[in-house]
Amino acid sequence: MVFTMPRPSKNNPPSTASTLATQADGTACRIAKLLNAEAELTLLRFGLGVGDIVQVLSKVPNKGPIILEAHDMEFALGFDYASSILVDAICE
Amino acid sequence: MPSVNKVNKSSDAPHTEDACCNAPTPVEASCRHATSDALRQLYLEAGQSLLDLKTVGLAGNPNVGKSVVFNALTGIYVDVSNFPGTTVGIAKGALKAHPPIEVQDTPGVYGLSRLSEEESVAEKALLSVDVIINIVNAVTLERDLFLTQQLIDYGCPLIVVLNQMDEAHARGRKIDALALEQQLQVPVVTCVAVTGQGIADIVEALPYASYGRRTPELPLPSDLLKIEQNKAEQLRIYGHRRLYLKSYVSQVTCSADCCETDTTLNFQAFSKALGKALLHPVLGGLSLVFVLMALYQIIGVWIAGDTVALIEGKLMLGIVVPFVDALVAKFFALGTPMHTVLAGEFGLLTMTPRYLIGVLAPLVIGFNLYLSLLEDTGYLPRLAALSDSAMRQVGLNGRAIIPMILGLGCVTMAAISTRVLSSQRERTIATTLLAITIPCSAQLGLIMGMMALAGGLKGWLLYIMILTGLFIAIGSVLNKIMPGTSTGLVIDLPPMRLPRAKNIAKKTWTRSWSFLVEATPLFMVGALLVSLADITGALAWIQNALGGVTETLLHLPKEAASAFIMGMVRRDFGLAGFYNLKSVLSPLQMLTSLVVITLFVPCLATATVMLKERGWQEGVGVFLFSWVLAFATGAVVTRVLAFLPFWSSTL
Repeated sequence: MVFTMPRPSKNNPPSTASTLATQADGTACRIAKLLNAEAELTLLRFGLGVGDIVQVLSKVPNKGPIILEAHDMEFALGFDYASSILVDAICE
Repeated sequence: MPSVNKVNKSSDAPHTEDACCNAPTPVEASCRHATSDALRQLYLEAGQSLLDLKTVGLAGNPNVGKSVVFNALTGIYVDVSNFPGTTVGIAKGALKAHPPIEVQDTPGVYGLSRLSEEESVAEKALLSVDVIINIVNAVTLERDLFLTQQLIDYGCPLIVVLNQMDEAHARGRKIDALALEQQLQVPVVTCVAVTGQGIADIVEALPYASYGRRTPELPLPSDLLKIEQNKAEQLRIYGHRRLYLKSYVSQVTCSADCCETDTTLNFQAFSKALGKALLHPVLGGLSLVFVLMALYQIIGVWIAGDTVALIEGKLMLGIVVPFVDALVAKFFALGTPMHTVLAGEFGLLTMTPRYLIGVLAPLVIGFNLYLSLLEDTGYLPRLAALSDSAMRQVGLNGRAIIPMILGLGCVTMAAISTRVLSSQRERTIATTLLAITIPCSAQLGLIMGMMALAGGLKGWLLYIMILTGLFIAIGSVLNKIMPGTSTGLVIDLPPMRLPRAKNIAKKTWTRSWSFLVEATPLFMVGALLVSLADITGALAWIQNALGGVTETLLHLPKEAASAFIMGMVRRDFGLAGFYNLKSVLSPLQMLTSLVVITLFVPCLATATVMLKERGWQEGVGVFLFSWVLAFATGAVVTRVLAFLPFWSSTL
């Protein structure tokens, strides 16, 4: 079975929520909730899940991926995935 | 299957909480495995002799150094690069220290979840070997231990190899290997694979491979494999496993600032700054332009121009071909069929070495060298991140840029490397684009060399624009008509590294030699076919029959038909045919011929891989589509450029 991304309309987080995709460069944040099962599965295999701290290093414009650092590793996370991750900003 | 957790009783082995920071530094601890005598005895009781082992599998996350370990254990070279997804198939070799044992190198995976074809390939291999050597990057322990724990949960006997201990040390990270071993209940070996440190200890530890301590509260391995087929259950189990390993990872690692030296600090800072710059939208874009310009200068001007002129012009045409011609003439009179086959215009002993050694070999070696340098620096994953938005327009994600770039080296290998993509849909789109719009290294070198005659850099840019336009058009159409959407991007960004000269040399040589071994017999078959057609008069007949296409449709001379015949064997052979006609082609005809032959049918090796990987329907479909597209595009190019005074005058 092949997973596909849910439709964007269903994937949108509540308007009040702060998603990983909207964080400013340099922000450290704690993962609060993952709204997309596929993103959750992928991140779990990266050793990340709810409660873990990630830092936004930079963002590629035009809905490009978010460059993150966590557990001494840098990785790029697609915009759709990042939009489905609710976070609590810790500091900039 | 032996029962799990045989060695759990060893949890009372000596260990203190501050052992991490009091333990020898990782560099001191390198080249020895951490197993205490008490544990070793227990492993020996539970484990097996080296003589019992038949197959050993290497497992680990992408880009942790599995292939380096494989090369060291077997003495066989497989590609090693600094980007995730270098290995997409299973490489096999005999263990040097004990040849009856077969070592299998598997694709790097973050977990065995069958999210991509490479995960299925890895799972199938790993669940069938006697012992697994699980390579873990000491720098990213939290991430890598997920796979370790999953393998233990599946009931696989394994040893853990903590690789890149030097890099962990340079980053101020200490790992208590003994504590980790006591936690996992499997032997833990530390090593720095690129320098060979600790490799002997891996072999020594193999008989002690153990089933380890499973995640609490999980079902038995046989049930677990079935339960994880259910996605909801899989998510629950994965969450549980992550929480479990998180509970012990902090106990076996600690940070220490005292380990870093000025040199490593400086290089790490530079590496980080460079990596960041390459992801900057403007600087990243400029760096891509620089990479392409450098490619043109090195391959197109220095190698295709100067080096080929020297080797083909002076050596082959000046010395080798006249010598062979004279030698053949001693045995077979000029004009006889044998003379034509051996030393005629398409002669097996004249044209074949002239093009393979004089033209294609320098280009392929040069391109492979350039590509190897790019691969080993860590540039490709950053390019993947930067190109994600653009690739999504054609139904792919940024990860697909890696097979595309590898396709510039060899489309056949790149078609196999599309396994790293997550869905069948993405693999279909990527394979189609690769087979039709991406020229391989031999083609690219010839194209650049010929482009110097057809407008220079402007001709090169025009050629890139045409192919990019087709790439976007075909990809967009496939994206529209194929059901589903592209999957999201998640890609590891390894540190930028200085390429190692030894690896670059080995990789360049291995790939170039493979090209010559594969291409030589095919080139000879193609040359033989054209020679026989020439002798029997079939060539003239074909040239006349194809006159409608070559002369009327493409505005090319009728001799171009022989280049197309050669191009059916391999596209670069077709280009070699056009290279032979370079003195009679106008710049516009040259550009048209280059575009047509690039889009022409995939080479035999690529077609075979496509049939195998994508099935006959897709394979035949792409084959036929490439014919129509190549000639239709050629007809448009030759007319539009002739119509535009700016381009026609430039060319």
